[in-house]
Formats: sequence, C-alpha cells, structure tokens
Amino acid sequence: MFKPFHRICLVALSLSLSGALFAAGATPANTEQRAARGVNTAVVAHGQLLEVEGQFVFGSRQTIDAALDQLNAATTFTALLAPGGVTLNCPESGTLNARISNLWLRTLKLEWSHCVSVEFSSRNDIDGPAEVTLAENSLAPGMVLSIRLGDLSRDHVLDSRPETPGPWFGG
Amino acid sequence: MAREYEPGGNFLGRYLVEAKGFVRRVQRLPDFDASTGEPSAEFYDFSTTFSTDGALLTGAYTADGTGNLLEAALLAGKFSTRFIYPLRPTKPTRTLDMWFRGTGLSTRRAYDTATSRYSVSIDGKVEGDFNQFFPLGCSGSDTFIFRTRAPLTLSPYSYYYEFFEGGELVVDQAVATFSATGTEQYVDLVGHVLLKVPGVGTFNYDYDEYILYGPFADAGRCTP
Repeated sequence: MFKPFHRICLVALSLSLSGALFAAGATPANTEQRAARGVNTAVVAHGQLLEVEGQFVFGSRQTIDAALDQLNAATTFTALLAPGGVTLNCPESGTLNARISNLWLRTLKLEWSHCVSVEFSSRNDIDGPAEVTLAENSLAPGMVLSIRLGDLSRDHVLDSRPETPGPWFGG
Repeated sequence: MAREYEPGGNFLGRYLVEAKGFVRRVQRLPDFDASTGEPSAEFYDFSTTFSTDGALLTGAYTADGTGNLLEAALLAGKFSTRFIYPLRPTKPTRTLDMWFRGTGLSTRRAYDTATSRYSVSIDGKVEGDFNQFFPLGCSGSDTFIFRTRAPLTLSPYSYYYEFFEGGELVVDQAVATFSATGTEQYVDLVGHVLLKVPGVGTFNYDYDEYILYGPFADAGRCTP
C-alpha cells in the first residue's frame, strides 16, 4: 500500500534566469576526508533533486492533468461556473466535484470524495481538495499557473494499493 | 507548468515554481523475520515526509527520438525529509531526519541513444546534513560547491544506479575522476575514483556495489 498525503502549493513563476546564483562560501574540500564526503554528497544531492522533482512537481502536475482530462471529457468550462459546479462519477466509485470559484482569476476548485479508479493493477482512491489557477477559460489549457493540493485544514490523499493483496504489500 | 506530454510519460518544457508544503508517503509493509526472510502477517506503516517552506524549483524534460534529458534544480530554498520506522515486535521505532539547502543546485540526467548510456551531472552549491541517514559519524551540516567537468556516465553492467564508468566532478577545488573496469557485477566489475585534493595528495578508491557505502564513503566518514 502506498499513500501520499499532500499539502502542496506550487506557483508558477516567470522570472528569467540569469547570472550566477551562488558565490563561493563553502569551506574548501582541503582534506581527503572532506573531499571524499563532498563527492558522496554530490551523489546524494543528485538523488535528492530527482526525488524533490518527483514528489513535489511531477506528482502534482500528473494529478491535475488527469483531473482536467476527466473534466474535459465530461463537461465544459462554462458549466463549472454554476454555484455548485459539476459533480462527476469516478470510474469505480466516488465523485469529483469541480467549480470555478473565481472567474477573474480562473480559479478551479476540485474536491475528490473517495474517487476510485483502477490503473495498472492498482486501485487508487483520491480524497480531498485541490485548487488550480488555469491559464485560459478552458478545461484543456496548455498550461496551469498554480496548483494547490490540500488546504489549511485538510490533506489531499491518494491511497494506492494492489488489486490483489499479497504477503509483501497491501495490508 | 505546461501540460504537454510525451509518450514516455513526462511533461515537456521548462517549469519554474515556488513550492510550499509537504508530501507524506506511507508504505504499509510487513516485518521480516531476520533468520528466514519471511514476511509477517501484520503490516506496519513506514512514513516518509518531504517538506519545504518555499523552495524555488525549475526543471525541464526534452526528448529527441529515444534520447532524452531531464533537468531538475533547486535555485534557492531548503528541503527536509523525515523517515519514521514503526514499532515492530522485534524492532524499536526510529526517526531519521535529513535536510539540504540549494543555491543554484542543479542536476541533469541524459540518455544518449548512440552510446546507450545514461549520464548525470551535478552543479551548484549545497548545504546539507545527511548524517543520520548515511552513517557518516559527522555532526552538523556540510557545504560544497560542485561543478561537473565531464558528465558522469552510468555503467550499463551494474545493478546499481550510481556506478560510474566515466566523468569528472569538481568539489570545491578537489577533482574526482571516475572510471570502471570489467563487465560483470560481482565477478570483475569494479568502479574506480581518482581524487585529487590540491596541496594534499591524490587518492584512489575502488568499489563494486553502491558507491555511497563503499571504501570511498569510508574515507569521508568523520568517525570510524
């Protein structure tokens, strides 16, 4: 069983990257011990950066991308302007509610209620809120400007477990 | 954050975001009998929490045929990770913490179709404390500046991801040159690191498994 709880806020920025972002400031690796530890740290840092990208960025984008695909296949941007938005049934059970809470900012509020789907022999149950700033008045935008999973009081939770529990996983 | 996808399942294009919050992963696993390796009937929650209070991240993925390049960078900010191992009948609960702060810290992982090789690079400044997770016996954080002179190529013969057969990395002023000999893990495959520390000397290390736990790592340990 694999279960991530999220309270993430990702805000896209449009800064241009220029110039040196760091200056020397480290104690030089001037002993064998410290230099060896430095190389080790480089290997760790490589892995940690990929972990950060996967946990914070890729996973969030994938969740919202799938939700937008689900919404775009079933409804329209205009329909989400209704006070209660639109509630869709999920493939196995549960629902996904979506509404535009602020048209000016194109704020899309999502609420999963134990939305269950099966993919790659894994049963995925999504529960909790999310908020997305769309880049255009469309459920098929080319990009989004921000993603927030969870809110101040609730987590966004994905509960993923194999369809056929075994002795090693799936308790 | 663009939504364009490529067939390998990656988002294309560059992103630049400020990230805040946490991801807590819980894996429910059995305990294992040390003598037989058999899993227990009961399952236990192993928790890992990644958190940041405002990190500036950028990255990109590009693909060219079967070749591809993944870039990920922490331009500024700090990430922390906490591992909590649950209490089990034969093991106590444990909590391990590690953190790192990046300043222009970036990595690249490329796959070159022509050579059928992955390569990685790491550049920028890191300050971090990994002492609890990697038993280095050190106290407090370390700060290093990395510059990859030649990408570190991954050996296709190793079971281990970070087993390098080429490349050159500068750590502050020290230079590490990677190579490997042999083609069969646990038979003749050996990774070599030549470490030149200006004003101190040149040191050689060989490893045959995971670089982080080999003799090379031992050299970096603060206490035996």
